[in-house]
Amino acid sequence: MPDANVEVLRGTLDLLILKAVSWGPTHGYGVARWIEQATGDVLQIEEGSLYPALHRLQARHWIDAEWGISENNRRARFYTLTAKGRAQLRVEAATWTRFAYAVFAALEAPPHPA
Amino acid sequence: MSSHSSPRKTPAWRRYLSFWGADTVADVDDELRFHIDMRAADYAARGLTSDAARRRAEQRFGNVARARDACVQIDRQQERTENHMHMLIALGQDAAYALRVLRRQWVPALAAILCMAVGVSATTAMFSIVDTLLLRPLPYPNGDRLVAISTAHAGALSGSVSSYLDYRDWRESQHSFDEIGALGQTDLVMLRGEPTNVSAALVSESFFRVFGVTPELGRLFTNADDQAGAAPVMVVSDAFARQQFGEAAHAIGQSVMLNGAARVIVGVIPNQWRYPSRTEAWLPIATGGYSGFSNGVLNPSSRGNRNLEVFGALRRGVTLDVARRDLAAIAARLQHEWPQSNAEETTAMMPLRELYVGDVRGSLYAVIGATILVLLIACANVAALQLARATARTREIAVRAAIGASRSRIVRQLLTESVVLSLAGGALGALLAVWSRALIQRAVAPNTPAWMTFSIDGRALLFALVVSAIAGIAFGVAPALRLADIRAGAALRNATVGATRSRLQRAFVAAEVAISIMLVVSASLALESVWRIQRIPIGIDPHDVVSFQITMQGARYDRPPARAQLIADIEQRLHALPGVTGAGAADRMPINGCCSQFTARIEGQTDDEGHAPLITGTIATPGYFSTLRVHRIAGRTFTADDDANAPKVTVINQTFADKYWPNGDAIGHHVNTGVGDATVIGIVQDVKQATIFGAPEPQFFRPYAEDPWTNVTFAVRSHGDLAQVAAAARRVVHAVDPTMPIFNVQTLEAVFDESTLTTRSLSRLLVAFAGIALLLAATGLYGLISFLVERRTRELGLRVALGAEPSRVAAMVVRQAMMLAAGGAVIGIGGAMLAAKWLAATLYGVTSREPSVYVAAAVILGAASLAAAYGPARRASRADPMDALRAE
Repeated sequence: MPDANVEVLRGTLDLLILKAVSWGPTHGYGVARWIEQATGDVLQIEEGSLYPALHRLQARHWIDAEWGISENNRRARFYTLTAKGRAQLRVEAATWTRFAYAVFAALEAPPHPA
Repeated sequence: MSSHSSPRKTPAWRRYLSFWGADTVADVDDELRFHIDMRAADYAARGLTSDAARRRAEQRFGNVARARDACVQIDRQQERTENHMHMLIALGQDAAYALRVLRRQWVPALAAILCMAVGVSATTAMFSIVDTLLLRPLPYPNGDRLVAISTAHAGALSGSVSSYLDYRDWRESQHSFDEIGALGQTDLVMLRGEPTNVSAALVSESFFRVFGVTPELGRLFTNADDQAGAAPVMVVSDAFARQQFGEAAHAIGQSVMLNGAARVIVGVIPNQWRYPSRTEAWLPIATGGYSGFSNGVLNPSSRGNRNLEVFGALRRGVTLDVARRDLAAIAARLQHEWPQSNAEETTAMMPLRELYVGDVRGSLYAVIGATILVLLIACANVAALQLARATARTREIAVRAAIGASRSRIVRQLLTESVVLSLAGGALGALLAVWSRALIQRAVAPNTPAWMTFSIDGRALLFALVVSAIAGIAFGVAPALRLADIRAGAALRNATVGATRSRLQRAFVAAEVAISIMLVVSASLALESVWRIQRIPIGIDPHDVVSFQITMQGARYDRPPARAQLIADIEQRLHALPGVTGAGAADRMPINGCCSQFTARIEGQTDDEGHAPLITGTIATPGYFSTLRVHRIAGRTFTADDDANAPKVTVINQTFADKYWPNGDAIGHHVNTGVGDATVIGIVQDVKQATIFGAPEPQFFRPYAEDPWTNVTFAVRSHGDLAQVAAAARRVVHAVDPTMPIFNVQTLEAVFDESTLTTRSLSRLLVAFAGIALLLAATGLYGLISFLVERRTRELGLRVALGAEPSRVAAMVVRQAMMLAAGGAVIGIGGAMLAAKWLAATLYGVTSREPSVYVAAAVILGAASLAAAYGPARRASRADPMDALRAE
């Protein structure tokens, strides 16, 4: 992946994580799986950067973390969206959607009138 | 998407605040391992072998170590930045909650705050005194290294005075001091309008450098000022300069008549650096009229003339021991060089602070001990109250535990409550300390110099804060831990939890009783000491006697017969005053500080090892004995005929007579105290001269007319108003000489009272402390018994319902209280015996084995316990089974 896209992608990753945990307490693997499934396996997130991202979001109080018991009875760290995180999600989703529409619009636009 | 709610609702950051901390690294490892395991399991479910699935999962994840480090770093950073903030927030929440709780139960809370306030105020006031006396450097620039150097005679520290010539030799030969200086205190008469008495000090030129004093205005002394024949100069205090000249600057260059000679003020020093603290003027020794100089020339034979105090500032890095050895070597050399005067003289040295602390150390420690006991008892009471309050809070705590509050969270909450309580008490205590300080100071250090200012300052307030915080935590931990054990559902098992709780509470209350006994016994001992002091035979009757001092100055009193004539004249006129039944004079009155001592050669005694005993001598007029009602045992006392022309005579005290003439034949023998043989003409009973304490010492009296000193103290006995007598006496003196200053006008009773002040104040203080302790212990006992009765309401009600006599139920409750008090009393009496043993060393005439004192203390405690148990017992005897059942 070209370096130029990292920032965009990181922002995107944060957005996807916030969305993933917005459905309820979710562990890291659950976040990864949700993103894979929700994007039809198109976006395969880099797992090595998923966890630092989770911890960073937690440090910003956008998500909370607590230890719980997973579906297969193991101790796992569950993340939940905080009120602050939900507000952030709304803002970022709107921004991203506007951005995406803009890009779409540009891509769909007729050729430049010369 | 499957996810489970956690059973614990604590947000993650709170976990990091838990008492045990969190292992960040292990947590991150766990989390990442979980991810890889889950991914591997998914692959395995899709048909890979478990090894392949794991490899694939790890491959997919990428660099685990890097992710882990990144996570750990983020978490640690977060912990650091947020820990403090959240700690504060949580503390604020806890404190707000604590305040709500305390407001809801304000009666016990107020009781606890008052207990704490009493303890903290006593401790804080004590601290301000200890701080000044023991901890802070003396308020002189060189305060931390000042020492007092004294001459010891025949190995015994007979006084702290040294001779000028010795001082000069020490100063020249020593290597341990930056500077040493000498000082002699004296009273001078100043003529500026009314003749007034000026407290003055003759000092060596080096004196101010020893203390590190710099002048506020003008200059201090130079070497040239301290030479025989130099122009007479002096340095005065700022207070003196302002009082005499309005402004300190106006004093410089002024000429003042002191003891009949003009003297120019060259410098003014700040008041806080005065030494001795009440001194107003300092004069160079060489020009100040020091007795070692005769006609302005230093008298080489004055080496035995010991009347100067010597002080030194230790060189930095030199210890007291090194300095002691240094001076000891010089003293040893002087012993050889001047066997006449120095054969048995050595030097002694102590930090200057010891001069002031030495005397009061005993009562200081007694009060420190009592203060700590009061604080302990207050803390125990707060802890017991906390436990008692728990009855009402069992349900609340159980509910908090049930909705997920962790044990540590509850402990922290309860600790916050007790800290809030003790801080509130501490704040109140700091306010009270301002008042109790004065009380304590009178008991501990009534005569400390003015520069030792005791104030409740920032340090003392900080101390109060720290003490109350520590007390809150130390005495909050046990109740908090106990209470926190009430977990969800524990409300039902109330009985068992209550039992363990009441055991702890009993321990606290028993401890209170024990401490109270110790304080009550200590107070009784102090009272006993006061009682004994009041009954010490002092050899005189101090009631109805007023005394005053005069100083003769000027050429008209140069001749001894003129002085004798003046005193005889005044004595006669005083005697003629209406209402006056006696008038007499002496160089000083009894119980008034020590005395002049003389080397005495006694007839029939061979001088052991070539030295004669030093014996206290007093110069007295004929009226002295009858005015003070000194009982005559044998022979006669002085008459107007015993003057300089008559054969030399002396009156000795009983101890003197018994010691040297055990057969009772003292009269007619001879004693030579340096002015030739004097015949013993009478024996009088012992008079306490220097202090009222201690065994009587030999003392002799000589007729004033035979050796008329210039400083005289008169005593006048009258049944009338002593203030009027004093005024009349002043008129009498001024009729004889209008320029004669009169000072130190006081009743002998006041002198006597002052010498017992420390013991009386100490006993008052200990009585106050014991009273507070009793009250606190009784409150604690009352709280506990009420609590126990309340818990047994149902059982007691049933007993009454089943036919138990109400009085028996009451007796049962009282018995329970008394058992507890007895348990505490046994421990307390043990502690009290230790305390008494130690107090016996401090208090006059007290033995630690006075059974009546312990019995009295036990009875007082028993009565207090009974009073405390009465209310609850009454309630118990009226227990109604129906109420009891409804209460459940």
